[in-house]
Amino acid sequence: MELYHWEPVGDSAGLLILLEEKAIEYRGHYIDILGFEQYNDDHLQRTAMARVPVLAVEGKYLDVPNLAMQYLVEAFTPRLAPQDPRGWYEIQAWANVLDAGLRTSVSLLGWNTVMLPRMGASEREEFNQKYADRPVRERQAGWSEVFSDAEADEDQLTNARGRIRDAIAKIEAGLCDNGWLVGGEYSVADIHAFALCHTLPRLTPDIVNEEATPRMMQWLQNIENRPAVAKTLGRSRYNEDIYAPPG
Amino acid sequence: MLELHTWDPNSNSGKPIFTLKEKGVEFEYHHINLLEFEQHSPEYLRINPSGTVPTLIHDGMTFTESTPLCEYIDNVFDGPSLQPDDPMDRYRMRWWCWYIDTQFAPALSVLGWHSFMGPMVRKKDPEEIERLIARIPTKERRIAWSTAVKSSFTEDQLENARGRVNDGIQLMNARLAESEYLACPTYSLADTVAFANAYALPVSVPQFANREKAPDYMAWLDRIYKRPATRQAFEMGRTPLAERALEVIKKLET
Repeated sequence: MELYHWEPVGDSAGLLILLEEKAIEYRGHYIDILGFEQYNDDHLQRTAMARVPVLAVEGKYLDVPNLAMQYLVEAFTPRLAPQDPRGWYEIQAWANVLDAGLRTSVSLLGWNTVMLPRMGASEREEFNQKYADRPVRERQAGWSEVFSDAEADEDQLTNARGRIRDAIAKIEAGLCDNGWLVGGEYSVADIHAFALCHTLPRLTPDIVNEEATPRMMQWLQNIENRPAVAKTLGRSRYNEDIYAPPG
Repeated sequence: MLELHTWDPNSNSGKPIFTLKEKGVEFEYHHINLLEFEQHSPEYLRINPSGTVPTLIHDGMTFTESTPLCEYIDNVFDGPSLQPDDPMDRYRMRWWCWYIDTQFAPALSVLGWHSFMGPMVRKKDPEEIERLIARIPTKERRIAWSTAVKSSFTEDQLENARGRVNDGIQLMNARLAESEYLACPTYSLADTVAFANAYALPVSVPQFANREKAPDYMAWLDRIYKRPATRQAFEMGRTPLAERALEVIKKLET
């Protein structure tokens, strides 16, 4: 098994953590998203849409991360998801909520409010030019995924914040019974959610903080303390939070 | 006790109807008329606060995510299995569901609203329409419905949607050239989800969905139209969409 991944943030973090938790042996390949390596010909052979991460299993490339996680749940023990039909429904329903509410929004907000301000004017201009020229534009026919400009406008940022706020409210409410999202136990839903939102106490401190979301803060801490998670987060090549450009 | 609150056997509304009929499971059908905006009525919002269809209620538990609830139905009830056993085949089944739900259906719904839902709803008094839109629970859905009802799609948006629908038909056609069904050699939930969205394309976009340009897709439609569960599902419908589907079935039988 092989995993083509970026930093332990977002979807890459989800698969990296799950593989670690299940102690599955695999070969990892770092795809430098900021260096536009996802548009290299060999990666486009794996995924025409230049998606990262991609899980390679027996010559097949699984490029929808939440479904690749479901594959790992069913194909390898420990399962890390309930067996019963209702619990499994909840795992899948959370995946939809998380992907719709957080995936693009966190990346869009992080890119625009953290990454772009870190760049100098010429670096930013150079990046935007490369972004506009990326080959995937011709490949997007038939796909409705957002291929926005490199820099978002105020409306897009406000919408992203709104979607994050709604999703966080659901997570905070979802943790009310016993500290985990599904079935009273740590599961792939927690991993998926953690991967998408472990930087939010710093990215959106007005939304995720001790006062507004105490259960979520505790939940984040509990997950960060897990050896598999600490090990995965420790693999970052950066000393600060990092976000992928949108699209 | 099994209650299904949903619209006609079409798109998201149709997925659980087709699935329950395939499984041979009895259920109580509560028809929610989207053309009357009944999914945003106070009574319905008490069942499902997000105001979406379908909603399945089983043993007091509520299910509102239309594709995951089909897996639930298949997992919990007796009857023929609608999922392959092999984890990689299941990935492929879910990939098709994902593709249809997140890529294909949004494009198709632009065309559906433009040519069918929009004109039907616009027969109403404009003030009544405003009132109905105002009670939609989320801002995003209010904007989407408002655009759809007024049919304020640009020609560019419509052209883009047509292109994406055609791409989807070609993608299904290519897969169905090598396999009788989308995920694996036998009928699965991937086919249920795809058919619920794509069954009427030979009528709505005949320039793309025809026997010359997409022969394997058309043969797949024929196979699914002929399934007893498909006919039983359309017989529950109450709109011209279902009547039209029953006519197709009648033609295939002769």
